[in-house]
Amino acid sequence: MSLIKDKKGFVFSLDATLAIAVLLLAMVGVASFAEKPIYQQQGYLRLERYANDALEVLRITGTMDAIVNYLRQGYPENAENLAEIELRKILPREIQFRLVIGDENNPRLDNIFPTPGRHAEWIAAFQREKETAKAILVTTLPPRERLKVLAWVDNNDEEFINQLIIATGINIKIVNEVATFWNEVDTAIVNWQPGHPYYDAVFIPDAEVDLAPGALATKISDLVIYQKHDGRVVVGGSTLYYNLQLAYADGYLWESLGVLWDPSLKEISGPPMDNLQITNSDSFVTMPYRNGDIIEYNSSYSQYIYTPLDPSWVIAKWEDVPEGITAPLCGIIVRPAGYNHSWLGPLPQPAVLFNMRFAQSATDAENPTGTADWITLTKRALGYEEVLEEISLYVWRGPPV
Amino acid sequence: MKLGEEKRGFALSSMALLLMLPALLLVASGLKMIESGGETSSIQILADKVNSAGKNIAETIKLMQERKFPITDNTLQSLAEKYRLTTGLIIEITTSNDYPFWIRVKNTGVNHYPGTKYCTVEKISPDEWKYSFEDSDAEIGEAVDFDYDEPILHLEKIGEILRITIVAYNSTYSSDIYYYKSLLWENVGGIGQAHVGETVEIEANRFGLFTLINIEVRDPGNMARYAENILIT
Repeated sequence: MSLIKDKKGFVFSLDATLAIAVLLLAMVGVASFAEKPIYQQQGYLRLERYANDALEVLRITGTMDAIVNYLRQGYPENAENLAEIELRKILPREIQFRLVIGDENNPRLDNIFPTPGRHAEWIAAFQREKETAKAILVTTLPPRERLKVLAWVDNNDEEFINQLIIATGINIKIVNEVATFWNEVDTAIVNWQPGHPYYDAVFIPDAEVDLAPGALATKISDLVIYQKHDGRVVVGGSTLYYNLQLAYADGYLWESLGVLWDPSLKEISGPPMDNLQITNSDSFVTMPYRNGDIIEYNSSYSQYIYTPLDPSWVIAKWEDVPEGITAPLCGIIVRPAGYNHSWLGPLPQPAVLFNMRFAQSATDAENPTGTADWITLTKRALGYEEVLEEISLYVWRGPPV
Repeated sequence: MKLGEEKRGFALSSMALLLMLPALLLVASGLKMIESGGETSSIQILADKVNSAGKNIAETIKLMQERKFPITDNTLQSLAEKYRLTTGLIIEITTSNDYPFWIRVKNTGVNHYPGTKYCTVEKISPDEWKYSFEDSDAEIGEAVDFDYDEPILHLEKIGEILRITIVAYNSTYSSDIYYYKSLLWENVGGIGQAHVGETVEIEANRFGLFTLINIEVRDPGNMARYAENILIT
């Protein structure tokens, strides 16, 4: 453009052009500098969001419950497959993941990746990745060691045992023949390793037979020997009612359960004894409850009147009792660990005695009463305690292995 | 600058200059938009993170309650710690006192609890307490005089027995009075001052208790916060 006198304007020299070019470059640089960290930050936060959302979906859809339940029942492969399939559905293709169930220092399951197998390659890819996001979900998981229990199951106790297995995944050996029962108890005593009982507990919810008839009369005391060998005994219902003949056999068992031997044990039933009240929630059995909580019971089933060796061992009582019975009536008695038994000395594990036929009441065909509570009390009495652990989901961007 | 023949360059007309100014303004605006847009997205995603952690903690506590998992101070602190280590958020889980008495105002259907502005609790002696309630409710548009005499309860612990007396109820409204989950009196007060002067005695451990678990999650910069209370019955 030529400059003519009558036209006005600025002269834009080559120096000025270069200066503006430098200025523009600087502005572009500043713009990209300001922009880059924001995108990087958002990118990471978006990854975190992917992880959080994926865990939330697993929880809301009930998939997480199903995964944990597979673990509870002892099927880790099923848990792994289900988690892989569901997470692949939820997350975009370009997002890869690793799910770890349990504490990371000692995980229960840590090989859940977008594709089955090739775990070594996936772990290598995970460890190579510099930008991973993590989300956690803390939940209740079953105990790490699966409890092994010997259970005596007879008339109408089967349904209760089934429900107990569903709730806990406990490995239960069910017997209902006297000879087999004592064979198993003897096996437990013979195969005992210090601190590692063959059976973690012997559970007799409601034996309606003499467990040691005739020539086997003194065999009942083997349950005390079993307790001496780190075993735990949980007894309920009419078991002691049918096993009270001999002071130096049945009586030993009674003592190991925290009650005075009484060969004329009284059996009662009927209202108003339909509500058992928790009176000591510090015990390992009743810890999920609060003092005063009520456990419902079908009063058409019997209760038994025991005298505890120590009143402080009673953790649940019947406050309202029929006429002629002195209140309160002991409901659940926990003989503490380390009790010095008159025959065998200290018994390492505690023992629990229920004075009622809870298994039959809880699963009565027409009127099941307080079922969930009785399952909770039973599993805790047997030593089944769930733990609080995290489930961690790692995600990162990258190609699949 | 004087433009001599030996010097070359461009002439920048006023029109061109006017065109450049909006361009510069646009660049400046663009930079500002990137900055504020990025910040908005960051806050939104941060809020999602806080919300997600808070909801997960609440769901875990409800699950613990449902599965009869013992809820103790230790387990709650362990839960908070696990989330804090993973998320970097500030997480506080506390339990609050469970004052046992509360009222349900029959005329409005509103419940009034201790620990709120509608009730004061005064310890008169080591074994005596005074619970003073207000039965009107500002949240539903009522005028509240805060004279705390609808009703006044006097409590006295005698051995393992708790003796409760209705000292006063000066209102045309009437209320039900509860001890934890148990109904003690129905339709107290009103024009006839029903049940005023009456006494009941209860055994403290015959009733179920409840506890309030307070969850608070927030980011260290206090830009996002999640709070929830869970009633443990």
